[in-house]
Parts: sequence; structure tokens; C-alpha cells
Amino acid sequence: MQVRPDGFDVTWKWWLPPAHSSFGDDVDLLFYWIFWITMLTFVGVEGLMLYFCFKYRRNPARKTIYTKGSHSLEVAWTVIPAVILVALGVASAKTWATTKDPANPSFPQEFQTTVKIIAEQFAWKVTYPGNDKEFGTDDDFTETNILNVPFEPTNADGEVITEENVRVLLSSKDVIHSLFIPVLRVKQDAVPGFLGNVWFDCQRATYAGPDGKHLTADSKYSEDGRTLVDWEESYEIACAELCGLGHSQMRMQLKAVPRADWEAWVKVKSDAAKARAAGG
Amino acid sequence: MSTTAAAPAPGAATHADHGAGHGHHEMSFLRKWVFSTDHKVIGLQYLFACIFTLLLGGLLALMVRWQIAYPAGAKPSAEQVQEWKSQGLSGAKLDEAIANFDGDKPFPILGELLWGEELSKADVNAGMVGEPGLFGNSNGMMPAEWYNVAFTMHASVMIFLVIIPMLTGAFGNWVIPLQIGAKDMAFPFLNGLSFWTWLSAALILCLSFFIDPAGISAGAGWTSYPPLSGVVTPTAGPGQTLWCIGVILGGTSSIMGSLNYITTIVNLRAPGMSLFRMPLTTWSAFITSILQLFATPVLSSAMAMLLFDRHMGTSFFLPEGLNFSGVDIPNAGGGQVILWQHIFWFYSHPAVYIMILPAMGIVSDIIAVWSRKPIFGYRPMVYSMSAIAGLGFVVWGHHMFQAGMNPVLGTTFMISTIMIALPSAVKVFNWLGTLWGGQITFSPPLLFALGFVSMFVIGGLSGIYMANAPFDIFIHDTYFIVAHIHYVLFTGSVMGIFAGIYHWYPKMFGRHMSDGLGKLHFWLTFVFMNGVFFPMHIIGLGGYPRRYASFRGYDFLAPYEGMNVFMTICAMALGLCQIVFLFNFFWSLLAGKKVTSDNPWHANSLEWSTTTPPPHGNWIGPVPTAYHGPYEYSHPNCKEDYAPQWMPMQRVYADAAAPATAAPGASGAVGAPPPAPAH
Ligand code: HEM
Ligand SMILES: [Cu+2]
Ligand SMILES: [Cu+2]
Repeated sequence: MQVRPDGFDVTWKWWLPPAHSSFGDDVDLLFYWIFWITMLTFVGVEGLMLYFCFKYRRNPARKTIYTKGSHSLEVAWTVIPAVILVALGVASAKTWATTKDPANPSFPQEFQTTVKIIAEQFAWKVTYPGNDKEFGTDDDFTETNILNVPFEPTNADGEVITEENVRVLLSSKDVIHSLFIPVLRVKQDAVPGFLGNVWFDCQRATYAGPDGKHLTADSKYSEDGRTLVDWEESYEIACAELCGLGHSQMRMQLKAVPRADWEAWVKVKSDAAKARAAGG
Repeated sequence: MSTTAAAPAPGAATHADHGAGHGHHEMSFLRKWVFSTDHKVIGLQYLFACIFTLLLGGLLALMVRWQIAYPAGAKPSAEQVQEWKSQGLSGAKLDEAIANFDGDKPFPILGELLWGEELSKADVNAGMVGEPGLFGNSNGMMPAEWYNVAFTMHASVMIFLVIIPMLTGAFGNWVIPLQIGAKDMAFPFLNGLSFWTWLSAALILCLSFFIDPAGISAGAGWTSYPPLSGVVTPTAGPGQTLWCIGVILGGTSSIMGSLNYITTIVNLRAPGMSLFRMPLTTWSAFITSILQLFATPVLSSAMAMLLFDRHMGTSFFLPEGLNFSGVDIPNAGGGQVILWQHIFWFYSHPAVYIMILPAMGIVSDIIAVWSRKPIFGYRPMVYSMSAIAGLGFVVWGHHMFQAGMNPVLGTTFMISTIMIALPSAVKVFNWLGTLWGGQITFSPPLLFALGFVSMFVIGGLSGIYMANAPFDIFIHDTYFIVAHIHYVLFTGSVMGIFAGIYHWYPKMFGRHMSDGLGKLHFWLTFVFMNGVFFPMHIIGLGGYPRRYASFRGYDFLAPYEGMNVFMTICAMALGLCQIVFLFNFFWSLLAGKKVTSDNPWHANSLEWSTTTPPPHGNWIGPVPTAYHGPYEYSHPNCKEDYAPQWMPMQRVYADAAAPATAAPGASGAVGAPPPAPAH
């Protein structure tokens, strides 16, 4: 265990970060399938190679096997991997459709929240539609490097209690950037001249409930007297596409909070924006 | 010589005359070694030039690694703070110690030369300024903009100035005519021109470091996505322009080379050398050349468009409304940013196979020779290379899953990409089949070839993770990709290159490299390269983004500091142990053991039939005839465990008692047919 002076634990990590989106587990499941298939292949192939290297090392007393190949072996080692690869492809195509294809039934039917991010060198400008949930009105407000969204409560079995799908409209005003949220398994390029979009849901709130555990739907967060400044952690968002000098400094924080808290925050910001618009 | 240049596609007969005519007269040094049109000399020119560029690319890699492990702004470790506390520091004293803590580590020697004298943090805090270096003064530490230059130029040098020219330029040139029994390339003049074009590309790329006082060459990555690369800004200044020009020239050289190889292989094969009697090195060069011929012009056109966008006011890749830090880009409008990615990857995906197919061919030949076995599944090997080449043209979209493409298109690219792993797997199984039941000698060439196979397996398998689009979304542009690239290109292609050098060195130079040093070189390289590249998979799984000048400021990256330091130490060691190779290579040129046979490895393919090193025109007298395939090792009816292609099998049976190569007339076997064997 190694702890930095600022209290951060920098113990070596060896594995995927936790997954907090509804599709994160599907993506990870794909990874585990591939992991075990490739591990077996790896051990098999390398093992066989080492064995051959040992068994067939030069030894004039042993007769060399003269062969130019085997038709049936060729067929076997073409067809078997092909079947495995196709199966993987089919499994992947399913998850791909869920996350990307609006025509797919398991793609979200409705987005409870929509925000617009315009990336620039070297910051993320996040525009929220405000109280009226419409872009282009006086109550829109823009935050720099702060992405706050409602979290999606689940029950103990991991089933969604209330859907909270977030859609991000994404573009850039200069070069290509890429919105990378590791814990949500999300990555989408912000391409200038093109308004892309990506969606996610975040099933784990970023602050603790009364008992110090993360909030669930049952947590009595609102009676807890917490204010929004009490947020205890945030998920990190990084830029994943080289965008110039400050590429490694485009850090944004994602905070996933209960809807009531989120709406309260939006209201404060939105009212202020509206007041500013009216005043100026 | 002039006849050759003027009559570029001589038939076999004229070619034979040419060779015979040129055995005698003396050429000036300049004509023979500098502006040569002899494919062997050109091959060696590429080889020597590429050893130099390999050193340059390697140095840049070490600088990249150093920056990642030791970026500026390190804080004292917990242990250090603890130690200060136990020394009695506290309060303001402790704060001062922390403020003056100097965790910066400039790159050894070069750091101070390039970026000025290293001062202690206390001196800096006190306002002192040290001696500036060549590229400015940042206390010996690499500035962030130069870090972008370092990784961009590392990749560009390695791809365009090392791996492609080494495999197609050096080996392609040197090996193809000798293996198919041609006196030279079909277009010898074009061949020389191709080398000089490539060399000017190399010089322009190197020059780009010195066109800006801060050494800012191209810094938009080897993929150079616009608008970052498409608009003239301080980060993409004149260096980026030179980069585009250099890449166009490099591509032009590739196009010339591939035209030449294709024509040569189609037209100038020796009598009896049917396509399916060609060794796999030549097959791979053939298939690679076809890939190059179709893909490279696309890259050149992309580069030209980028140059126009940068300097002539066009907007192929610049959409409306571009605004860089408050400055509008006047010519932007109507362009498509994603267009570049399509064009670029339409070239660059095939290009990754251009960078590995020749190595696969080389490795196949070496495994057959050193395990004394026919290639297992020769035709499947050829077909799988062709399949890789064909599929290679329809998978480019796998670099763009996260760019926002139509999901159906994404599915298509995912399936085609997954399927491209299949022919690669078939090749690996066939290599294993070749080893099976052989007589394996662990010479340096074989060690490197086995290194190639075992490491290519890792690179191929990691490809499957990335081919699956939903998971690729997560690992795209992280260190997982960097791990993949290096398992296929360093532990793959570069191992293949080393294998080829050790294997053909005696024929190239008439001397042997040291076996012991070769093995030492292999084992050191093998251990350290895995030390550098394997942990990249792990930090990639953690989401560590590539092309980050610093991990500082990210909680989720902090845990990887230790691993980054480990990789950097391994990289430095990997760099250092190449000294063993350099020493062995250059020392053996002068003092290596002289070869005593024209066919020291008892190999079958035609390059071993001629005298050593091969003369101008490749064979004294007419070219040999190919009587059978190149992989007749350990034939049960032969006493010897090999049957050279240039001798009829019957003769081999009859001569079994006397080793074929020991006979001085071996190379002229065709010219002087042996007495009919009794067999
Ligand atoms: C077994 C078959 C292979 C598969 C399925 C495969 C798949 C992929 C995929 C999907 C990517 C894109 C990943 C991303 O950017 O998110 C990729 C990148 C790459 N691959 Fe492969 N690959 C294979 C073999 C190879 C080989 C043989 C080479 C080279 C010799 C190679 C070189 C590269 C390079 C250089 C990149 C990164 C380009 C960049 O972004 O800078 N791959 N590969
Ligand atoms: Cu960026
Ligand atoms: Cu690719």
C-alpha cells in the first residue's frame, strides 16, 4: 500500500476499472469471454511450440518426419477458429446494437436528460438545457469541465428502478477531441462540423449515503441534510484523441447524483442564467 | 549499364547477356556503390540506411518513454515525507522541503543538451536561469509540445523509414531476384531511383527537426488527423508541412519499388520457377507489393489534400465554423473531418500488413531451413497471405468505431476485422506444423524467427479484443493499442528483420556473424521487449490513454506510475542491448569468420546456389533452373537432408554420398548437366 502525501492511494492496479453503466457489464462480459478464449489459445500455442522445440531439437539419431501438410488439419484449424470467431462476432454485434443502434429494441426509448458538450483546446464546455429542457432558450447554462447528471438507481439485484438515460450531444469547435469516461465504458469523438451523440446511464452515485456507502434508491439522501457541495468523489473523464499541447490536461469530472439533488442544482444555475439574460 | 536503363524490361535472354557482359568490366566506385542499379547494392544501401534510422527511431522512443515515466512535477513520495518528519521537520520547514523537492529527471545527457541545464528546484524557486540547450530552456525537461513531436516522429520514422524500407527495400531488393533466379530487377534504374527518393524522404523528415528553433517537427501523431494537422498553427507549423512532403516522397519510392518487384516476379523467373515453386519470402514480397501498389497512391493523395488545406486555401478536411482559441480559420468550410480518417486508414490498414507480411515470409523460410522440414501447408500459407491482403482492404473502419459511424457499418467492419484474425491463425498453426517432427537447430536466425511466431501470437490475439467494437470503444486510444502495435511490429516485424539479417548475412557479406553474440542479442532483446510492452496491456486495461505527456492530475492514472517506470527502465535496457547487435554486425564485416561454403546452411532456395557474395548479374554464367519446390528438406529418398532447387531430384539421389554444395560447380549446375543418374 502506497499513499501519496495528498492521501491518494497509488497501489498498483492490474485490471479493468469498475463498470457503473448498465451496458458496462455487457462490455466487460465480452472482455471476459475473449480473455479466456485468447488465454487458452495462447497457452495452447505457446505450450505446443515449447514442447516441439524441446522434443524436436536437433538429434541425428531421430528420423525427421517428412510431410508437406495435411488437408484435414488445415480444414480443422480453419473451421474451428472460424466458428469461435463468428460466435464472438455475434455476441459483440448484440452489445454493439444495444449501445449504438437506435433501431434496436434494447436501445433506450427515452432520454431523461440531454446535455450538449462542445469541446475545445483544452476544455469541455457543457451546456445544460435548464429548467425548460430546451436548448437555445434563455435558461440554458454552460459549465466548464463539469458534467453533472442524475444517477440511475437500481435495486439489490441490479435491476433498474427508475431509468435515467443521459444523452450527450457532442461536437468540437477546433480539433477532434474524444470524450472518454472509463467507468462507464464510454468513448466518443467530438468531431468539428458534426454533431455526434452518445448515451449512458450511471448506476452509482458519486457520494455516500448516510451509512458511508454509495447511494441506492432506498437511501434517504434528502433527509440527510446533505448539500450539493458535499460531493465526495467524482468519476474522471479524459480526452482520448490527441488534440495538441494540452491533450493530457483535458480532465473533466462526472458527478452522478440523485435526481432531486440534480434538479435543485439545475434550478439554481438555470434561474441565474435566466436572470442574467433578462438583466443584460 | 546504359542498356539496362534504356531497355527496362529485358526478357530472360537479354538479361542473361547483360549479366555475362558485366562480369568483367570495372565500374567506378560511385557507380558501383553509390548510384548503383544492382539490386543487391541497393538492398544493402537500404539495410545500412535503415540501421541508422532504427537508431534514430529508437532514441526517440526512449525519450517518449522517459517523459511518460518521469514527467515534470513529481511530488515527494510518502516515504520521503515520512523521512523528513522523522528528521524533525514540521510546519513551515516541512512545507519548504516539499516545495523545494526536485522530482524532475531529465533524459540522461540529451535532456541537458536539448533543453538546458538542470537546476535544483530551490535554485529555480530563487529565480535562477541555467544555460539554454539546443531547443530552448526548460530546465533539462522535455516540454509538452516536444513530447508530441517525439512520439509522432518515433512512429513516422519507424514506419516509413525503418520497417517498410527494411522489409521491402532491403530484403525485398536483395532477396527477390536471387530467389527467383533473375539477374537483376526488371527496372534497375527505377530501383536506384526508388532508393534515392526514399533517402530524400528520410532527409526531409529528419530536417523537419531543425526548421523550428524549438525543434518542433510534426506533432499531430503519425495518423495526423486534421484539423489538428490541417491548419497551420505553432504546433503544426513548417515541420508538419515537411512531414507531409516526406511521406509523399516515401510513398512514391514505395510505388516505384512495388511496380518493380511485381514486374520482376511476373516476368523474370528462372526456367522452371513456377509461381508455386517460389519461396515464401518472395511470395510475401509479391503480395506485399500488390498491397503497396494499390494502397500507397491513396495515402499520397490524402497528403496532397492536406498540404492544399494547409497552404492553398482549400478545405477538404476543414468544416465550417472552425475556431482555434478565438481565431477563425478563414478557409474552413464544406470539408469533412472524417474523410481524412477514411482515406488515411484505407492506406494505413493495408500498410500494417505491408509491415508484417514480408516478415512472415522471411520467418517461414528460416523455420524450414533450421528445422530441416518442408513448410507445412505451403499453399495454405500462400492463400492465407493472400486472404490477409484481400481482407486488409475492407477493415479500415475498425480504427473509427468511436468516431460516430453508422452502427450497421460498424458491425460490418467488426465482422471483417474479426475474420482477418483467421488467416493469421492459420499461418501460426502451419509454422507449428513445420516445427513438428523436425531437426531444430537453435541458431540466431531461428531464435528470432521463433521469437516472431511466439510474439505475433500475442499481437494477433490482442487484435481480437480490439476487433470487438463494444470493447474497442473502451480500449481505443489507450495503451492497449500501443501494446498491440508493438507486439506485431516490434516483437513481430523487427524480430523478423533480425532473423533475416542473421540468416542471409553470410551470403550478403561472405562472412559469418558471431553465433554467441547473436544468441545473447536474442535473449536480452526477448526479455526486455516483453518487459517494455507487456505491461502496456495492463495499463491499457486500466484506461491509460496513449499520447499523454503526463499522467499527473489524474487519480485513475496515478497507480500506474510504478509500472511506467518499470517499462522505461526495460526500454533503456532494450536500447542498450542493441549494442551487442551493432557490434556483431559491423565487427563481423571486417573480422567475421570467412564463409567456407556457398551454402553454409544447406538451404534449398536459389540464392544459395551462387558464389558468395553474389557477383554483379548474380550468377557467373546463365541463371540456374528450378527443378522442384524450395522446401525439399529431409526427403526420405535423399541421403542428404536437403535437395537444392537448382538440382534435379534424381541427381540429388545419386550424389547423396557427396554433399551437393561442396561441389564447386554447384552454382553452374544448369550449365553443365551432370551425367544421367542411374536411379
Ligand atoms: C490478427 C489480426 C489483427 C486484428 C484483428 C487487428 C485489429 C486491430 C484493430 C481493431 C485496431 C484498431 C484499434 C483501435 O485503434 O481502437 C488495430 C490497430 C492497429 N494494428 Fe492491428 N490487428 C491485427 C493485426 C495487426 C498486425 C499484423 C499489425 C501490424 C503488423 C497491426 C498493426 C496495428 C497498428 C499499427 C494499429 C494502430 C494504429 C494506430 O492507431 O496508431 N495489427 N488493430
Ligand atoms: Cu485531447
Ligand atoms: Cu487496422
